[in-house]
Amino acid sequence: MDQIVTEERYVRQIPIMGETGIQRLKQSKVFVGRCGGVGGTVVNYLIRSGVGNLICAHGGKIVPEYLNRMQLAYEGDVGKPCIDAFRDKTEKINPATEIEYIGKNITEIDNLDEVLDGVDVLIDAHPLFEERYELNDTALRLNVPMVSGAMYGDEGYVFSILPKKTACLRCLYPERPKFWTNIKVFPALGMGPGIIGCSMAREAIELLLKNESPLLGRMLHFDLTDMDFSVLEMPQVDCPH
Amino acid sequence: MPNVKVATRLREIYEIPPGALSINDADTVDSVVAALEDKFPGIKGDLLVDDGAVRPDVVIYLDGQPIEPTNTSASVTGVGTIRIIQAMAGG
Repeated sequence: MDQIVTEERYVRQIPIMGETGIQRLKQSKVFVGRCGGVGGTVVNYLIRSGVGNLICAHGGKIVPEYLNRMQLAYEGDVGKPCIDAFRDKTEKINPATEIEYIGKNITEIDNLDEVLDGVDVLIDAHPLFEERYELNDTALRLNVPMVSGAMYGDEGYVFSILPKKTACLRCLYPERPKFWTNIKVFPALGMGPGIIGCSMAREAIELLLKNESPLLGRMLHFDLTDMDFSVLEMPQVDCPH
Repeated sequence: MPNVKVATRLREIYEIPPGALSINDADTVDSVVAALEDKFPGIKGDLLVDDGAVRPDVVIYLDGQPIEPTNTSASVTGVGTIRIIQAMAGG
């Protein structure tokens, strides 16, 4: 058997996942839908943990109001295409990580199934329900687990779906709130998206390593206004979607 | 006497302070919603649809267990925390 070589950057993880786990992450591929406050945190920690391949889809340009929560956007990036700003940061974290950046949002990608071929986990960090339902339906179609995280102000939640085994997003919320019509409707302070992104990254890693995770069919919910964290059960349904 | 946690967006609209609300004399989800409506007129429409089921963009949890949208007669006796969680997409 080939001798596994684990770079020094990962040595702290060996007690957590072993060298074979680190090797497994290197061979894994994760899709991240939107790399903003939530998704950018996921990208940051997946790269640092050694996930070898990412696909990051995010359209548009950096605007000043992104700077209060987006880890991959700095002052000098304002006006730049988002993916250029993100690439600039991620290359500095670990140039060995293979990242395919797509300068479009998921609902603008025509050949989505082709793009996602071979992906092991999907990350739903979208600011619009139309995009979230699109990735949800794709997860079911491709039979790939999805980790979803969302917030509004100081409140947020994270849950994971395993197609046909757990409830999906449409099972949980068949419709979006009437008021959620654009990406500017939610107040945001960076800590909430950060907590969500970190939790999602850890869920994704657990799924990559073990094909199971603590939030499959369950939801981590929090409200930072009174530091109320809880784990809730998702509806026990035979997902009809 | 359950504690009720209301979704952030609804707290904004109805000016509900953070943290939990204590609801007295409520024995079902319906009576909790009625009590909330008394305190915050209009909130019922943001929780239930016309036929009385829970709205499709809201899930109500009784101590961490979601109720069926049509099961608003569910008892809250002995329940510690009721959570009203609206769908969110902030990222």
